[in-house]
Amino acid sequence: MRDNNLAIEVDDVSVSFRHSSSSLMSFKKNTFDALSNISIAVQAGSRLGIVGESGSGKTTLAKTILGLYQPATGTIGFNHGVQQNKDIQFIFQDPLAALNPRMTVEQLITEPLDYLGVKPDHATRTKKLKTIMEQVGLDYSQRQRYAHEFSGGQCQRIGIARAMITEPKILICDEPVSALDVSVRAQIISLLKEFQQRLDLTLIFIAHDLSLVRYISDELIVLYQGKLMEMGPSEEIFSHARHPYTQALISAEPRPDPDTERQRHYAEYGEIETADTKLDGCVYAGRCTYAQSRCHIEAPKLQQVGETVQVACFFPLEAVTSV
Amino acid sequence: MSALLEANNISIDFATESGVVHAVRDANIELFEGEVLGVVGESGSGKTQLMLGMLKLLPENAVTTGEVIYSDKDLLTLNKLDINRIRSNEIAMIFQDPMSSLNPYLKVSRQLTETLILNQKIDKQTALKQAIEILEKVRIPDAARRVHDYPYQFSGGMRQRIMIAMALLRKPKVLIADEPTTALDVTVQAEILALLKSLRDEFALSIILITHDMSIVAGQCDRVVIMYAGQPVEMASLDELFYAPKHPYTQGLLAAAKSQSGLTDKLVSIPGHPPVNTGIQLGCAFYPRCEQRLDVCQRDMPVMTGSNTQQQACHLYER
Repeated sequence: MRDNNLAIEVDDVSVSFRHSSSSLMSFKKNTFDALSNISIAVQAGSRLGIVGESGSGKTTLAKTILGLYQPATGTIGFNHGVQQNKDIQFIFQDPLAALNPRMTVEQLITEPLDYLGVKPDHATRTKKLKTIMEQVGLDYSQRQRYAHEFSGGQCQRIGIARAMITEPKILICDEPVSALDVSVRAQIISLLKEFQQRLDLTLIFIAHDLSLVRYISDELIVLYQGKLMEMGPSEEIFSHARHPYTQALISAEPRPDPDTERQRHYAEYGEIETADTKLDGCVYAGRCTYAQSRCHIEAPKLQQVGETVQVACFFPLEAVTSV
Repeated sequence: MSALLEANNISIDFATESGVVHAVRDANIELFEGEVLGVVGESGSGKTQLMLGMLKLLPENAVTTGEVIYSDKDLLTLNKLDINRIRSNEIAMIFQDPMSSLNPYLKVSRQLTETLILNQKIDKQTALKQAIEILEKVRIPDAARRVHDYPYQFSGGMRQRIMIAMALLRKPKVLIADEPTTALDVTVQAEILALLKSLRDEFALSIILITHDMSIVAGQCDRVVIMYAGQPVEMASLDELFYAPKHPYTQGLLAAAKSQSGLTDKLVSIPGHPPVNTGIQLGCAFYPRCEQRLDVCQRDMPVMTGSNTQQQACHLYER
């Protein structure tokens, strides 16, 4: 292990939230584990994809790395001189909602500089603004406009400019293209990839679908109900999903091809049960088509399968099952 | 064959503070009996506004012109009572976000029986029985008990099932589904789509499916209308649209969708961004983003031409 080359080390992190019991008769406080015992190591300059459905804990993990949530147990460490409050930036899913409607593009993009104590003089500020606007593909002459005057894709460019002007070492993107039109998604992905490569950024990319994430990430983790299901190189996981959940995620996605779709047998995927019932077995067992009796009794630990992949399943899938 | 529902020359304008927005310009679509018609477009393409306009569901600042023919009547000329009757008995609509379409304060039982009691003049018990039956049809487990729950007690997929149940209560002939699975996870989406398919046969529905997702179109629709900047730009049977797309926008959209599904090695997008629908439009709205544009495209608006099964509004095919 080249430990000194790690940018982020997430070590056995659990995050829990308190919520009051749904029964009106008792106001007992319960805790709900949004993440349990997550350990991941992110190489400096790498691109990590985090995939999972709603409620899987992917955003919680990102926000914990960012320091917005405190882990209940476990630690998050940074190397390469990364300071949690300075060197990590975040890009949000809904670009318009993330931008203050009363601020001009210029104010929006340069605002982070003030908060991070950079406070550049006017000339430097203008220069930085001009450079970053050019880099994200915005027209400098539009700097006095407001966010609502731009399309979704352009708003996301403003969001990226706002993050990148602080010259972060780590960039976390939380579903940055999910709210965008299909025809502009690739533009934003390419832009993020370009920044990552040029500046050797460590990039964390959160998504709910595997097929898009494989274009940007070289490593992938799959979360389900706060637990790590599978982890390894993106291409490897995409071409050979070993966890039944990963496979369900891939196969459930419709393809833009009528012939393929005509052959689709709609499998029963089952819906997520309420997450606060603590089960002894595998969290996915209730929905898993391959589940055996052991899966309901005992929770599988992450185990090494092959050279590069780790999977939390007693019965990892052998071969590729087609869509 | 005559169409079940036919919209002719629909234009929808919104008067806003910053001028008139032309949400839909001169759109023609028809829905035939028993088919699933996909209406595809990106945000701002007017796909939802067109449907809302056809059912007179738009706010006061909208002006809808044209005609919507359904069983020999023009829906746009109907008075409030008559259009309400059509909307409750004949043409039902379901929306993207089931939670914001359901009343959070009312139990599902109340929301499902309301329309029955009002329209069929039946007593509460009979209505409740029918509500449970319809919930079973959309495969909500333990429906007899769960009908007394509130919307928040259901997951997103289950809520969408309730919305579908509500739409089907009065056994409509036409179902307009506006991005019914966009807010759902992929595995849940697959189940809702499968459900829609089986309900279509069971209830002999004709469906208009509004979506931005070409993958959903591929698995669900018989015919497709592609919209751009408030206008249909291509209309075709499913296979012609996917395997022989003609309009450059359709081609670009398909290429982008295919690449995002992992069917190609490189991620593809259409350069530029969607237009704003204000002002007078002279030529083709797709002109600034089109890679096959001609000089004429900037000057003249293309009209729909083509065969019986595939038409497109593009100068490349006008001869």
